[in-house]
Amino acid sequence: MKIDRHNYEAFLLDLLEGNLSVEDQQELHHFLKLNPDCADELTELEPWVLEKEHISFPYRQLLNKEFPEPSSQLNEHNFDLFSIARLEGDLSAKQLADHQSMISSSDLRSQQWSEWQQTRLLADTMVFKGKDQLKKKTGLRNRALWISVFSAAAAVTLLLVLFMAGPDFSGQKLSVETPLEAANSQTPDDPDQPESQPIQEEPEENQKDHLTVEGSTQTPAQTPAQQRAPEAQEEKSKPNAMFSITRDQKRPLEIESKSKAIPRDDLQPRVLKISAHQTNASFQPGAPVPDQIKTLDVPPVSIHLGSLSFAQIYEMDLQEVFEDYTQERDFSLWTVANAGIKGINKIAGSDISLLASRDEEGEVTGFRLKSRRFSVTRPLGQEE
Amino acid sequence: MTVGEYNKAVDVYADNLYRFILKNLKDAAMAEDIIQDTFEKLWIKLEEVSALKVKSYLFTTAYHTMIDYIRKEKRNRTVDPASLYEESESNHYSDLGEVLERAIQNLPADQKAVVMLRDYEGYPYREISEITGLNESQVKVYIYRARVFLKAYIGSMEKVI
Repeated sequence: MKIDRHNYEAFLLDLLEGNLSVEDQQELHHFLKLNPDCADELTELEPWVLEKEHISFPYRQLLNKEFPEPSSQLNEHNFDLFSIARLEGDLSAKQLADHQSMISSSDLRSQQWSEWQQTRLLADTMVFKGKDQLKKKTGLRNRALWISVFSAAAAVTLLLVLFMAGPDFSGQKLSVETPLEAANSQTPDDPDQPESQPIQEEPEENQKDHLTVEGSTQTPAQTPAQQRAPEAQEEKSKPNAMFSITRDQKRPLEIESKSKAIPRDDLQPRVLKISAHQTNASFQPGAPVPDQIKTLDVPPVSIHLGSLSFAQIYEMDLQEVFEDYTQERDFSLWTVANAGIKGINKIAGSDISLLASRDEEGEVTGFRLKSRRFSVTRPLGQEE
Repeated sequence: MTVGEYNKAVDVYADNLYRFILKNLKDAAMAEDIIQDTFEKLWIKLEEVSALKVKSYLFTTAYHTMIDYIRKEKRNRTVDPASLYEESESNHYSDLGEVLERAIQNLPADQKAVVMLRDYEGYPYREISEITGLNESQVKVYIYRARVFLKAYIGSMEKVI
């Protein structure tokens, strides 16, 4: 094909790509000499041609396998790799023998091998001091569970002893008043206003008894506020107390007769008070005389969880505490009751103690549950 | 895994684990935190972890906790051997142990961990692979490179000494 001004560009491209034959190249050069303006285009195209550069990956050596294969042969060039492989235990028996043979035959190799051996780290002894804190107590959950179960059972038994073996409780009424209500009860407000009266709780059965025995003095038409009015008057004369148990002076005669064996002093209204909120100075003449209370011969609970740190509680030998309870062979009700109190004290961090009041003959006449925050007294009934 | 086995694991592995982390981090307080954190994780997964796998579990957990810490603190740095030799020439060491200790601290974190697991704990490549999450070949390569680096470092220090 003859090169002319219409097709010379195709020949130029073939020239740049190296696809032009020698004859066509000579013909193209001849054409460019005759047409110098077309030669300028060749100059403009030249910068677009990439020259071959020698570029090598700088980390090519890192891609090489750096450890000998089982089939590799030991030689002067791979001695170091074999040395590392020997340190790592990667050599086959034959490779190991060859390596040892090379070391034995040359002092230099022997020296190099000893240097490789120095690269092995020697484990020095280190002790982690917090090891004990990481350990968990075995069986702690079970022991704590047993203590809780035992304590709960003992507490239930205590309640049964106090409220089922004692006198009939139906003839008494329990009044509970809060400090605010107690303060309100001392103000000369209209007694018909329920909010100014102490809250009094009485079993429904007792209210029915009142209606049947004392029908002439109390009529069903009376409102609860009217029924409480005289009682409120009595409450005003009592010392300020958060909790009080009083004996109903109007209770039926047949119920009264059940308590004939109780000393006359015991028939006086009993005030159960929170000792922490009431000082001795607050007692007034005519106020109930407290029982002569003597403590039981029960060793005091020396440990209160509230005063111990968590670490001390954690270190407590609960098994030993549990065994202290179970090693008791003489399981009287007192033992069980006191064990329950102990258990409650340990779990709740309280300081409750169980006391008994005794008469001159040493007979138990009542109980008292006492702590720094409250004191509850309960007479023990004796049926004839 | 029972509570007894857990406590036995504390007795047997706590020291080794502590050494492994402390040697890597050179930070006793952080190493203690990581050990406590590791055993706390073990305690949480007590029923899932077999007593036979407990060592591997402990080292794996501790290693990854440590790596997270290193990344967080940006302590994972590469070392230029030339600058390392210059630095080493300015220091004086009395015995090979100190030289080796210094060399270890200049290893990249990955190589440092695998070579410690290899030398201190005697783990095979496969278990190191499980702990670190690297494949076996990579573990092997790291160990070989670490040996070459350690030998070069020791050699340069011996010339100085």
